[in-house]
Parts: sequence; C-alpha cells; structure tokens
Amino acid sequence: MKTPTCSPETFSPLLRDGVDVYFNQGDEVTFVYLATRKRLYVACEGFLQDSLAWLTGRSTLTELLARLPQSENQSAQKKFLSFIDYLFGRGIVVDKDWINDLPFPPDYLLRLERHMNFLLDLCGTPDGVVSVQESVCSCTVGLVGVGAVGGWLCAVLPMMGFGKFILIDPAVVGPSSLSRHAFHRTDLVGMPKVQAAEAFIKAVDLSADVRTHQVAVIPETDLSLILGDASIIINTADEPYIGHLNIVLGRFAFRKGIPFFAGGGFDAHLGCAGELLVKGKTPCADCYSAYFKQAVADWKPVTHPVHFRRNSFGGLPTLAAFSAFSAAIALLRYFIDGSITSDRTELYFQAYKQEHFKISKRENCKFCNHP
Amino acid sequence: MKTPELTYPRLRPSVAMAPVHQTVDGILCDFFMGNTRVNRRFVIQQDLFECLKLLDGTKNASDVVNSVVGGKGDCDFLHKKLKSLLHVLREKNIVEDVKMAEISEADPRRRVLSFLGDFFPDYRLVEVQGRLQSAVVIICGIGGVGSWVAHFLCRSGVGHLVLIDPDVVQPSNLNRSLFPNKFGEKKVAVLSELLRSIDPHVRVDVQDSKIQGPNDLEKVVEVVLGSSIPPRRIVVVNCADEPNVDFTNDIIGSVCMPRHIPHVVAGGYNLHLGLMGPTVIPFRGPCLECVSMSLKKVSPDGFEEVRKLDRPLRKLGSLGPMVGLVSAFAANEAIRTILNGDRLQPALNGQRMEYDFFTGNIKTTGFERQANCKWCGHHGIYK
Ligand SMILES: [Zn+2]
Ligand SMILES: [Zn+2]
Repeated sequence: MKTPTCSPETFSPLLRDGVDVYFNQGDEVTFVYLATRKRLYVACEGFLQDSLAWLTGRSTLTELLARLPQSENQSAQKKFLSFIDYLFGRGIVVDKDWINDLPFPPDYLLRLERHMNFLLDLCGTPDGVVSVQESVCSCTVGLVGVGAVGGWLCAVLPMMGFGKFILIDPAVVGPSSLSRHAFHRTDLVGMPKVQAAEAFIKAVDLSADVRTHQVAVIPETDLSLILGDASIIINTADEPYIGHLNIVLGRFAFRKGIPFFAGGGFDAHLGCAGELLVKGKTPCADCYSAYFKQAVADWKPVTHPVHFRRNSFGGLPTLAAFSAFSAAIALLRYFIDGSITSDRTELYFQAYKQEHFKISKRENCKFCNHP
Repeated sequence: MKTPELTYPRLRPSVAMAPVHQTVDGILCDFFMGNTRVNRRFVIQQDLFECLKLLDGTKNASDVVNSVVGGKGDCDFLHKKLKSLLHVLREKNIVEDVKMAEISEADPRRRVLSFLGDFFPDYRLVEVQGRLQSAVVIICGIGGVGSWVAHFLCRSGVGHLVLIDPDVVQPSNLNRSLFPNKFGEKKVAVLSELLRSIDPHVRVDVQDSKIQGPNDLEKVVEVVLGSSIPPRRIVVVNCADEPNVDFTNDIIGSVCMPRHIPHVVAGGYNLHLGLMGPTVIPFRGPCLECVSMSLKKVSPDGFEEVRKLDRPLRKLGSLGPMVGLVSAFAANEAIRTILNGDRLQPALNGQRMEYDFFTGNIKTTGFERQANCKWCGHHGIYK
C-alpha cells in the first residue's frame, strides 16, 4: 500500500470525509472522527494548519511540498512530511486512490466504491477496511428461508459485497408474493423461491456463488449435508415453527462454532431486529427460547376459534425489510469489531418506538457451556 | 356510511384473546393484536366471554348464543348483549365479518390489508385500499433512497408513482440502489419497467430532467392536480440530495406549501447515522422552514465559536441496508400520510429520527411550529 513517506511522488493526500476539522485559539487543531465522535487535538504551526485545505487529493505530496511558502526551507518540508505521515497513521489522511489499491477485483471495487467509503469512516484506515471486507468476501451465508425477510437479505447482502450463498426454501413464488417478497415479479409466479432469489442476487453480482436447495428444514434434515460449509447461518424461515427451527439451527451453528442469526419479522414479531448468537459471546438459541417462554408464562390466550390462521397475519413490506436490514447491519457490525448487542429489539409501528429485552445465559445451559 | 351487517363474526385470526383475571363485573380480558403488538383490554361478562371463544366465522350471533346457552337461559337478552359487544369489538378491529375477510384474503396484497386491519375495521379495508390505489406519490430523486421507496410503495399498493431523476444507471449505484444492471440507461426508465413487472396495474410516470428550481417541480405537480386529484391524495417524497437536502427541501416546500400538498423528507445518511423525516402536513404541525429555523438555534458539539475547515467536495460513503432502512421509513410515512385520518397518522409529523449503525437504536427529535416562520407563521407567505 502507498504511504506518504515511501512514495511522495504518487501519494495524493486526501483529508478523509469522515473527519471534521476545527481551528481553535492558538495553534491547536481539533480533528473530530464523525463516526465515533472521538476527538484528536493536535498542536501545529500556522502553515501546517493552512495546508489542511490543500488535502483534496488533487495534488501529489511532491507537488504540495513545492507549494509550501518556505519551499526552500528544509525544516518546513520535513515538518510538512511528518505532519502528513502522522495524519496518515491516525486515519485522517488517505491517498486519493486508496480504493483502487485495495486487494479486490476492479469490478468489485467499482460496484462497492461508496461501500468502501462507508467502511473507511467506520474502520479509520484502509487496512481496517481490507480486513473487514475480506471477511465479508470469504463468508458463505447459509440462508434458511427466502421469504419476506430472507428476500430482502438477498437484496442487501450482495450490495455489501457478500458473494457466497446457500439458499434453502421449499416454496414457490405465488401471486401473494407481490407484497411480501423482494424478488417477486409477475413472470416468476410458479418458480421456486430459491431460484428467483438466486437470479435476484446475480442481478447485483453476476459472479456470485449461489447454491440452492428447494427443501424444508425438518427434524430429519441432515444439516451438515446442506449447511456443512456455511460460515454463518441466518434463519428467516417461519415454518414449521420459528422457535423450533431457531433451536435446531442454533444448536447446529454452536456445535460448528459459527455465528447464528435468528431473524425477526414474523407474525407477532414484525419489525423485530432479530439477534446474532455467537458461542462464548452471547446466550444460545435455547436460552433465548427459554427467556421468552418464561416471559409469557403468565399470559395464557384461549385456543383461537379460527384453526387455520397462517394466511391471516399481516405485514407491510417495509417492516419485513426493516428486520432484514437490521440483520445485515448487525452482521457488518460484528465483522468490524466483534461487537454484538445481545438484547432483542422490537420496533413498534405506531410511533416507531423500540423495546429492548435483555437476555442472559441460563446458569447451567449445556449448549452455552458445552466445550 | 351505514355499517354493513356483521353476519358471520369471527375473532380476527391475528388477534389473541387472553383472560387476565376475574373482576366483579366479569373477566378482564386482553386482546393482543399480533400484527402491531398492541394490546386492548376489556372487561367481558362470563357468558359473553364464552360466546367470543366460539367466533370462528361459521356461526351467526344467534347460533353462537344457542351453543352457549343450550336452550337453558335467556337467549334474547344474551343475543342483544352480544350484538352490542360485537359492534364495539369490530370498531376496535378485534372482530370481523368472515365475508369481508374473505375478500381481503383473496387479494394478492392480503398481508398489507390484514396489517391495515389493525387500524381500520374490516368493512373499511376496500375503501382504504382504494385510497392507496388512487393516491399519487411523486418521488424526487430515485438514486439510493428513491429506488427503494418506489419499490416499497408499489408492493404496498400505491397505484400511481411519478419518478423524477436525470441520471443513468452506473455500476457504482449497485451497492445501494434497487436497479437491474442496465448500465447507461435512464434510471427512471429502468425502474418504471421493473415496477410494472412487479404489478402490471401500477401507473408510473417519469421525468428524466433535473429539478433545478421550483418551476420544474411545479410543472409536474400541476399536471397531477390537473387530472383532478385532490392535494391530500398527493404526497411528494424528497429523496434528492444534490447539491444538498436543504436546497431540495426548499424547492419542495415552496411548491407544496401553497398547494397544501403533504410532503415527506426521506432524509438520507451521514456516516453511521441514517436520517429520517420530517413529514409535513401543511399548516398542521411545523413546516420544513420551521424545522430549519429550529435547527439553526442549536449548535452541535459546542464548536460554534471556532472556525471549521470548509469541505465542499465531500464524497460520503453509503451502506446498502442503511439506505434501505431510511427508505422503509419514508415509504411508511408516505402510506400513513395517504391514509391520514382519525385512525392512522404519519408518525414523523414534526419529528426527525436518527438510526445509529453502532447500536441499532432510533432517536427521535421533535420540532414545534414557529410563530415567526416565513412560510407558515403569522405573517408567512403561504399562510
Ligand atoms: Zn444457552
Ligand atoms: Zn413553518
């Protein structure tokens, strides 16, 4: 990677967009990292302060050195160089072509230019961006259920540069997919959902590696056959029963030592952000299930007079999408710094208020504590 | 409008009924609306409670009463009580007529209708759907946010969309916009074709020139008004941020305020923050100028006294799911604005929201209408 000191004749310093600069009294400058609100106070001479306005990426470092007011002055040149090098080290200055220097194929970089800019603001340095995006790139997403929530994940995950998918869903696209599924088009009615979702992914990333299984996950399913090489499993299926499926898939993921995302967004959990479960870091799917079982233990609805109710639950496409977007954001957050918000958040449509549930491990849980 | 007969009543399938405890007047009972997770509580007399447990939509009220009483009690009295209870529960969206429900369930957008059934009684859903179908949403800018908003509205049943954008599809759009990869083609053309493949009945009008001043938007709005659509059935959504949102807000406000057209600011994103709202219903709550005045009063970070380095050519990053999330709320607001009334209102009227990437939390800031607002204040030009 280009650095100011190694290649001043090609390095074009660019003040990163995610940093604000304030000139204080005296010779102090405050740099504010907008993503974290962290501040860095730097004392520097007037000519160095003035030079900050030049860092637009339009001139190379060599050209800028020639522009210094005392360009004949060796010590000013030295100070300027080490100032830029310092800012480079702090993630305040980058080379204007930093994206093109990243170790990814050119068409990938072209498509993900704005994404990389976003990551730079969060990660602080191009090296940080590379390490996050490499884990995104090499991640095989096992997606169980490409329905209301899963469909929107098939839209945003490729947008973020995920390129390997295993899609599992038994159903076909039906007329009522119209208001439910991100990939629905009238000409796709009758097509297996996994196939429609695959085409949807490839519309963003033609070279995506997509494997499809038009099957339901049932108790007899040998998960290692279909999800054996997944690096993460996301469950957005609500059949046969979401709680049960979460437990089956969650246990499998914990045994394999890979992250498991229990998606939200169904029936009484529209707008639920879902939860990322990672062995050793968060409670397991069994603990979650036990928590909610206990939370509603005193609440005993009568048997509903209507027996077949599956088709009668409602939802807006935006709410299923909200669950999908929350899941995608939680994944990226985890890839950036390993952080997980281990509570469940549900969104209430009325005033867009959120409710948080704090869930902890059960003391003697054999799945959380299994070596 | 006369309320249609409730012939075959049923407890809405998405509503759970749970007795809490006995009181002197009967059973305190929860009705939990699964779609919106809203709980309503009523005290129900024991015999009526028994009746409600039988509301499966196959029996009329007298059948239900007969099953409960079994010829042993005062059927007429219970029948009367049940009728008036059902009337109340229907107005509270807990009970529906099975014939009405069958109409909704046969619709390809049955999930949307069932969701709206948490706000509107069964017999109004056809009319509510008609309101969405006959509404016009004008989307200014279909880049990142706008392309998603159009998708969501089309899938939710908004019948007429007007897309305004001068740009062509480029590879670098695909990290955040919902376009097929038809590079070099006009965004409005590509998107309208896609929307029609989702729903062949949706009407999509396009304009592929840039909105540079109020006149450009005025022309579009006048065409819509000219086809005798009332202003309250139109929503303008601002998804344009070039050169910046203040500039485009100014244009949209100055066109919409004098014509009483509601407008939604889709917001956008600033680094790790997704920004949403406000929604403006002209002269009911603060307008965009009121909000802008209030924002100028607060200075962020306590840096008001110091000079800030001017950065005219910023190229901020964007993240697909953050853009989608902002768009989802903009679409919600457009739908709520179309259906604005006593049962459902926009949530961001006078409010702005921030979604934080790092925490997943939503923060809301409220704004008041300003008496000295130059648009809607006492001496405002649009007053
Ligand atoms: Zn556990
Ligand atoms: Zn005002």
